Amino acid sequence: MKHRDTTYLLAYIHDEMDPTEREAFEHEILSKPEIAEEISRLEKLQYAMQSAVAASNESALKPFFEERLMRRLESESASFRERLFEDEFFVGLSSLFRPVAFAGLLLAILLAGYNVSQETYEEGSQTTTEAVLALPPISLATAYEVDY
Amino acid sequence: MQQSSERPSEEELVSRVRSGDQIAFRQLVERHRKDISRTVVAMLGPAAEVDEVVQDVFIRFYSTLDRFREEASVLTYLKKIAVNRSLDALRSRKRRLSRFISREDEAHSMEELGIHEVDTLESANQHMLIHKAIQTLPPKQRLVVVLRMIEGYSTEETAKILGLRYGTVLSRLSRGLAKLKVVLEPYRHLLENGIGSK
Repeated sequence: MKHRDTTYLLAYIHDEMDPTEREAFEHEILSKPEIAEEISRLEKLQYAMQSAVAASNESALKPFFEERLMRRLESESASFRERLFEDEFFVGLSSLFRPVAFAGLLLAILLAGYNVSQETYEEGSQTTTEAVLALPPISLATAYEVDY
Repeated sequence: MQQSSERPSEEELVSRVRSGDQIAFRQLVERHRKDISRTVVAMLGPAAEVDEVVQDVFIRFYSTLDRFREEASVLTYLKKIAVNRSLDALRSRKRRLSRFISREDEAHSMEELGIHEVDTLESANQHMLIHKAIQTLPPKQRLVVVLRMIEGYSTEETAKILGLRYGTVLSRLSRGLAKLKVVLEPYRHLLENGIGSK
């Protein structure tokens, strides 16, 4: 039997042929007993598979399946709600502090700008960091000077 | 007759589950659990993990209910989930096994799977023989064989559930059945006498 024939035979077994085709095929079966034999083998194989699965299916699920499932669903929903709450809390917290952080950053930039614009020391004596932070120019010599 | 008129419809149950009614969900589970466990048992064999996989199917159904369009039946939707979850379970089983067995050591025949006695297998062993034979099929062929031969879906319905073309279903079914025929050849006389028949 070719591959194509097996699915053709299955179409016959499962009654998926149109009536004319079925009738013609039944005539063919009468003249070719090997086809009838193959159909019978396929039917037996199908029956064997269905009975094996049905027998195992009887004891496939452990007792109190619904109760266990509902408990699992409840605990998964609770942890999902918990995760959702945590997510919402942190999203809320970050959205609350975002404007504060932005305002702080803006203030720092403005202060640095103000410091640079108000530079009182002679040009070139202060480093950029000293200018931004409004610090007096410090050299190695001035650092060791004792200032009473 | 009176009982059937009191039985809520699938649509009614689904809409109640959507509004958070857990009793309705439980009713849906009771209605379909046998059908779903049959698919999972056919795919995985009679294994301890079947119970957990069936639970996963219903949990997934519950959490993806928003995506469920009522053009298909609840059972068809559940079958799709069961098929995917079974494939996941097979993949993780393969990963677990690959830690202990090299690819060359994998079982390819019934003897390698531990089925030797051919003459007087009792009913439970006959069933195990069939399960082992199904497990020799690659997952893609197994899916088609399970839905078409065990579940009794038509080729068209099988194609719809698996999202495959009609021709692909036919070719996988042909290859799967051909392999089953080869694997079960030494036990042909058992099949002829009718495995599972009392």
